[in-house]
Amino acid sequence: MVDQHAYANTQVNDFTIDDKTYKYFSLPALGDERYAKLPYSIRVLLESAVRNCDNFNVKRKS
Amino acid sequence: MSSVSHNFAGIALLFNRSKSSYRFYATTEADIETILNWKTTSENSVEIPFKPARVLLQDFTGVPAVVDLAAMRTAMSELGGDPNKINPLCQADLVVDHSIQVDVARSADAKDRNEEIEFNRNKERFAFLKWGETAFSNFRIVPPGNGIVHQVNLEWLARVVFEKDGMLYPDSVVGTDSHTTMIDGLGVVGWGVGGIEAESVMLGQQISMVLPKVVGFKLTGELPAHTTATDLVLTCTNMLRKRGVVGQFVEFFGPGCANLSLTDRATIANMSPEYGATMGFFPVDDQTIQYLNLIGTDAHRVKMITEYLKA
Repeated sequence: MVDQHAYANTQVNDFTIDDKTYKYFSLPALGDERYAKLPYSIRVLLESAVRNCDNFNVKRKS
Repeated sequence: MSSVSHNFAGIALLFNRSKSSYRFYATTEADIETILNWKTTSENSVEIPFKPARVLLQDFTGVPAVVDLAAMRTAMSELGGDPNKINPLCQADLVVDHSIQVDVARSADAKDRNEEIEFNRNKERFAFLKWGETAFSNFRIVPPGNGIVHQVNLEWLARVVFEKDGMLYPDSVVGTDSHTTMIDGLGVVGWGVGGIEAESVMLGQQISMVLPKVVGFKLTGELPAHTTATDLVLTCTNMLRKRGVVGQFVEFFGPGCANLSLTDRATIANMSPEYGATMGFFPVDDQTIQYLNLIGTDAHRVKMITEYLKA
């Protein structure tokens, strides 16, 4: 179950504030031109979907 | 007790549904394509999964949820498992604000006496909730006497940017009260849901929602002297009702936003159910950051929020 996250390539791991390091999923890193035209509220939905993407039912073909 | 058993049946239903279709668990790349394609897909009522960062409960709707979790612990130990493994999967905060009643009025000590009566009247429930707070992880109680859930949410519970195990993401919330939308004024995506839906999110399920249309509301200028946020929100409500924004997001923008304090924005966001919108959203800007400083947010957190949202 250590499958690679579908959007691992958009994850930023070295986001440092003061002396703490954080990580996050970068939406601009999706490299999709439609992103810049999305309303801010929809971007929040998009971030949640990217972060929680597990492709579960795609693999299971239920 | 009927509401409790009813809740349980609902959860069982959710589990059955998810078992048969897997839809409730999964977020797929196809969903992300749907959201990216918002311009087209929002016209067609397409469903997407959404997993809010946290859940907000008040004491009336929250008690059944905690009772259900307690019942699951009992079931777990009856099955020979470790009951301590049953916990909310996301942060859940319960604000006790609905139990207070006015028995004493028109006297200087009315507040204290009403709160004392509240405690005696609800002893059993409060003791149960107190147990819940110590027993469950990811679960916090805001004790009675601290104010209305939405104000507590705004000043104390809202993270704006959420941090979990070093991972940063935008704060988002579903609450068991229609005016949960007040938090939209702080740039936090959130709205009211039913008890079952809130409980399913606590159990790690995703909400299935229609990808909404978004109405932009441009604000210009500033409020004249002697007008209040209430006047503004009534005007906005009137305009939005004429347009019809049921089930849609409203997003406020334009140069006028900078002239609205956070509390004014919260007033406008709070009234979303009155204009019918799912949200009345104010994206984070300098005013938001100013407010975070005002309520005493830790300087590192403010910096983290600012830098993350710019990135």
